[in-house]
Amino acid sequence: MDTKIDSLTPTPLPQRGRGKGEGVEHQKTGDMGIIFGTLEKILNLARANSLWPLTFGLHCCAIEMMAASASRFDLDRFGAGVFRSSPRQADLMIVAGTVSRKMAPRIKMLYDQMPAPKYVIAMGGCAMWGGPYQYEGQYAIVEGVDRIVPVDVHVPGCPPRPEGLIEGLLLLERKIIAGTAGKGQLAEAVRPTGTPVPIPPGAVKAPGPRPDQNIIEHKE
Amino acid sequence: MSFPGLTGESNQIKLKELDPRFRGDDNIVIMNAEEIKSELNPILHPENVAVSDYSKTGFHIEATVSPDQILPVVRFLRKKEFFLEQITGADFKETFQLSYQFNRFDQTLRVILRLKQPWNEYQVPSITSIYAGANWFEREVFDMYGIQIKNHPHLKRLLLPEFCNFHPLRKGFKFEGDSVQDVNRAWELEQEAEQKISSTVLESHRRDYFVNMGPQHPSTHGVLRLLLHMDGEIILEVDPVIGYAHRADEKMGENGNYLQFTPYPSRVDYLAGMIYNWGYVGTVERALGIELTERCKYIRVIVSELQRLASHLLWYGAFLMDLGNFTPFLYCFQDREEILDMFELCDGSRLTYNYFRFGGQERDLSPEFLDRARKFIPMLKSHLKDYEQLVAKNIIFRKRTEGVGVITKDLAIEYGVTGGALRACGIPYDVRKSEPYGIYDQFQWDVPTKTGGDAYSRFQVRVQEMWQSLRILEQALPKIPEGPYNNPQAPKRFKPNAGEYYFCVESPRGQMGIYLISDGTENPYRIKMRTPCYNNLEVISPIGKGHLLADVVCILGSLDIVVPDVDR
Repeated sequence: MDTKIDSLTPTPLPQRGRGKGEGVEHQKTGDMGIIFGTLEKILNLARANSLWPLTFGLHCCAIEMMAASASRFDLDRFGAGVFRSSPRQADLMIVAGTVSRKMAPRIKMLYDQMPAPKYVIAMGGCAMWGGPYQYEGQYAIVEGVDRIVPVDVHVPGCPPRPEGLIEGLLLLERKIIAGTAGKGQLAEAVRPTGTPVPIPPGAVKAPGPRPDQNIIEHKE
Repeated sequence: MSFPGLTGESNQIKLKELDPRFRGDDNIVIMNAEEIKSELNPILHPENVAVSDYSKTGFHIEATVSPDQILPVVRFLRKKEFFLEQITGADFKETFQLSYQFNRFDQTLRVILRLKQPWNEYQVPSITSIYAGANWFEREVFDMYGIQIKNHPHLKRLLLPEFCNFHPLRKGFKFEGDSVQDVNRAWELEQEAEQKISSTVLESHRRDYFVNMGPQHPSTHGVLRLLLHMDGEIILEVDPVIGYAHRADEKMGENGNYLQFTPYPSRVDYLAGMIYNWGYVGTVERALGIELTERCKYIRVIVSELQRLASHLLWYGAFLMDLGNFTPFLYCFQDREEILDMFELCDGSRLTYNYFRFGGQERDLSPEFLDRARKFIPMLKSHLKDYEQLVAKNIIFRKRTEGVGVITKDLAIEYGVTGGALRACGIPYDVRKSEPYGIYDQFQWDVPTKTGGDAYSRFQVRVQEMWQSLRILEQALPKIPEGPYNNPQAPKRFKPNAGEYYFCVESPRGQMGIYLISDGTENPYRIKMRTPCYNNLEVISPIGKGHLLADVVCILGSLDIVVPDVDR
């Protein structure tokens, strides 16, 4: 999905020389350019650049979420590094891991406790559709967190690399600026370059008999 | 009433009490399987006790017991200071079997007691009065199979939600529920239950109250819920509620064939993926009798020790973050990323690996991997010194951790505590030493121990373990031989003989073992994972009592809990 955000891009900063370093671009003049738009659009621009995620790890993906916020990847570069422990202070929920049936009501409760506008990223295959834990007769998990809360961005992977989460976050930021996030719509999946397009959660069917069961008996 | 976390004086008294017990370890009496068998004779019929071939099955003594014999035998083992490894249920369609597994800390002597009876007349007494750690195991058996256990203090579901009306590990079980509907139903039931608790407390005008810590809490390291019964800021009782991360790993093991289960162990404890890979692959190798090539043995030790370092580095950062220090978290993740980069070279994945195969590895270690590993060791060595100076002598850190959450030897035996938490109370039990798998017996290294048993000792032990891992790596990396990394003679179809097998490895958190029941087909009949965090978390109920609320965070962090490892 392409969103037109050109009208919201600030005008480029004028280059000014100051002191000895003449010609050096000075970023902190206070001259930020002029943006035209409705109040809603301006607010969305602010929201997109200061997301406060909820500290909330379920399984393996939580470790990659931690890694994304730690030294090498530094989620703070994208304005989303302030992890909050309370849902009342957060506006982004990163569902990082398998949603068990015992945990599912809590996730819904946490989502309800977050103040609007709020956004959800489903991180990893498990949160998208059950991932490797999906099989016929699986009794313990909810297959896809979007069955409980509306999801804005799906990030595939088992677990996704921190780069994957960052790409998902940037997509969410673009969606927020365009005003399409947080509306409870079906989310589009993140498409990392070079990987096949992930199947949207609604279209996933339960896998048939495992391929290995069809192998002809080996004669000993 | 004394509160061990409150005054320095009571800590000292407690530590003094503990010391002589730990120093008694010098005069170890080595027992052998025949002796135990003869001593069991008055209780059990000699025909029912067999000395087993350890190298083939992983057990030393296998015994069949009847329901009235179980308590005397277990009492005998408790007197002999055997610790409880695990209790496993298995459904044999017409009959049901419970296996009680015991082992010793000072030498390896694994005893398994089997109680097999028809389903409809199954009767078993609870052994919680002898081994307090059996509590969760028995509840899990009730949860998964619906077996009623007599005289259990509070037999209720452990992993599944209370309202469930099925027992999933029974053979032939088919789940036919709609998960979303169930979620709504669970929600209503829990609201009702919570209102009941709060209204009874309000009506009785009691001073004590309940605090619900988790399942969403920054320092429970995942989705763990602790129900804390408080008096002011003092904890009267800790009741861990687990199962929020349960995702049916053991059931999945039964559904596929042997090879199809290989990716899952690394997702059970995602911080020790390589080591869990080895645990599962090693079990099947023991059942099939597969030998490994020399290069493969070195590869396994190298990746396992790197994994242990990665796990301990994450623990270091997370534990200190729990106590309010943020800098170590950033530093340790920087080093951990180096190890993950190396694992990407050999396996392609950063966190959840599938690198081990029956009889070898998925692919060889590249020269680039070995180069990076060689460069990594001196780098981490210099960093570890810095971290130690940064943290270990910090007065605030020591005040927060010293004397907090003391585990005694008796508690360790009753609950089956293993890993760093056990070595911190003076018992040098390490699976790599006691039943050396792979080629751990070819290297020079020590098992670090401390005698305090508290959070600070656990911290010190884990830091020392990192140094020992580096020591093993230093010896293994130059010696790695050339040659095939896969055994070409390994079978292509995996059909172990019918029987029961056990194999365990030392994960960063303790003894991780896989108990495999094979019926001679291509699919495992039953896979039970003995995960260290299960036992290590259960011990928080006795050691958390009397501490302040803030100390629970410190105890949890020092025990190094990974919640999916508990729930599986």
